[in-house]
Amino acid sequence: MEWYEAFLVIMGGLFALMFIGLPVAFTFLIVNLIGAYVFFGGVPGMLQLVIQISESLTSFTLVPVALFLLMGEIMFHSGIGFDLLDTLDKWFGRLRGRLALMAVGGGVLFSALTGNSMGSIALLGSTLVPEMEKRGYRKPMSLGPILGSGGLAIMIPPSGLAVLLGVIAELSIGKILIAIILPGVIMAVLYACYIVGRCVIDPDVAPAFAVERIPWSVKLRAGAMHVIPVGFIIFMVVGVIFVGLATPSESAASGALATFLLAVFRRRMTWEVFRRAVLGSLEISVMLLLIISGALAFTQMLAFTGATEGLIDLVLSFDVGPIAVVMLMIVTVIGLGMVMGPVPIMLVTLPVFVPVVDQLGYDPIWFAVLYLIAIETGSTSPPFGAGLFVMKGVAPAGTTMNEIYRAAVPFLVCDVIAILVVLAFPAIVAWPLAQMF
Amino acid sequence: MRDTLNRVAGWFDLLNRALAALACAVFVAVALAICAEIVTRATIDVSNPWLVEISEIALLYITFLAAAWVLGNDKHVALDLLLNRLDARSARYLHLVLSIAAAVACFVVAWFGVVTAIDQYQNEIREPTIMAPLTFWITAVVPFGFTLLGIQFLRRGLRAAAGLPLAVGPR
Repeated sequence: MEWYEAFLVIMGGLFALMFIGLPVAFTFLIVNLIGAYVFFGGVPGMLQLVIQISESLTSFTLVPVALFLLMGEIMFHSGIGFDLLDTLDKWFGRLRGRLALMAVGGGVLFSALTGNSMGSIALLGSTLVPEMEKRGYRKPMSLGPILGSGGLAIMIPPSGLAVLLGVIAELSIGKILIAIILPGVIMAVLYACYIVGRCVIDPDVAPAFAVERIPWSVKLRAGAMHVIPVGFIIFMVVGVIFVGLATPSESAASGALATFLLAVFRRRMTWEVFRRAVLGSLEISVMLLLIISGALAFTQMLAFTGATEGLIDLVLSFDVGPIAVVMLMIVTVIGLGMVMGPVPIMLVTLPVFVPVVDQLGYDPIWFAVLYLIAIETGSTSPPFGAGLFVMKGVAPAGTTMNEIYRAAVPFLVCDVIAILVVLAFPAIVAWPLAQMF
Repeated sequence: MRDTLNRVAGWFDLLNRALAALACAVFVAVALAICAEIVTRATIDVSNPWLVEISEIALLYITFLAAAWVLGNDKHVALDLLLNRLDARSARYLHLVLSIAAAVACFVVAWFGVVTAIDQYQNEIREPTIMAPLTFWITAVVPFGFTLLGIQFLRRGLRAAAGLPLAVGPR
């Protein structure tokens, strides 16, 4: 069988099973089983598959996947996330579009604490949108900022998807976590600029309203109580990697412990909160780890059949510049994000894309950053971006999908600008990496 | 007959909840052990090289001990583009067919897992690592987990066919 025939059969089977609704992990399992029998020589192939499944999960680099999730779940169930929003509310004072700006600020903070964009959108959407509607904010200024900034969870450490990318693409997780910080901040600044600009041009989109004057003493106290401890958590995740105290896998554990201690310190850690946080993170971790084990075996099968090498040769034979190939990959990821969730996209595309990027001579970490922005863009892109449906679930009754689509568009433009900036200035990624110990 | 089936299903749920609780305990223990490792290495320069190995094996055990429980909670992610567009009756039957297919796949992997584990046990194969545990102990959890998953998928298919929710109940 030629490589392209094998590729079409394997990919066709995978997409077909996913499309008809089989859970993703078991889609990989069935395709891998058939592939192992056909391509790996029958029964020996099946025995090899069992060993591949076992070996793929006995990997220390996967430990952060579970521990970052634990961190986010503790943050969510203990209510510390809501305290942060309350503090931001005090600090933003009388700014025009303050609730939309709060969504961006909250998105950045929650990103740094949960690493989960869907959770961030759900939390911000359920808390801020009703207040925005009450204050006369129009949909583009109530739903849009939350869709944009919720997605920042992918771009601000600890990002679960960044860890997953590192595992699948076999890249340094520590480097990816550091490399995404500046692009994430740039995206947040772009969102804020858009909000301020739009409010200046079209004040009716976010009417000003009277805000109770908050004394500085209250603001400072709230900041000290709710924001400074977050700095401690961020240090326990990113700082310990940066100064060389812990590996990325270990930093996830220290981050989870710091979050737990913060919840205890704030007297929010009850047995029920702990139980729900651990069970919640276990559920998502097990689901993700099963998918990962299937995807890694799938990647090996693609390589064994010659499909990976064939695809690389095919792409390299195109008569276009290397940067055009990279852009084509990014557009593909955004396009897939309109109809698929981030995890399946990563599992299907990374085994093909990363070797191509390597062959083209680009820094794979730089590509990983571009890839993550594209994943974020895709997940809030119409018609089926997952974030849009989370927003529909938490938005006030009567909000139509069309309103959500229209609200998302300006922030998607900001994402595209961020992609172009990182494409044009790779130093945004390279410089922080050069500062690492 | 229905009572017997319900009783067996109850025991099965109890087993899965117990295994999930065990997985949680292992999960928390790993997190604490890693934190202790960071502290002891930074303060008294003591490192435990076996911790990485234990954590890796724990991750595999956590996954397969709790996989059937997660499926019972209907938390394995799936694309619902087609299922959402089907009428209720067609969706039920599609769930039934998909569940049977997944159950067969799980039982096949479980079977070959047992064969692999027995082979490793008989040949006393060990991991080429610091602790050098018998590989059999690592592999064995894979067929165990897939057997539970296969049973859970059969149950899921039956529940779908009967028009019951796919999730079996509160966690």
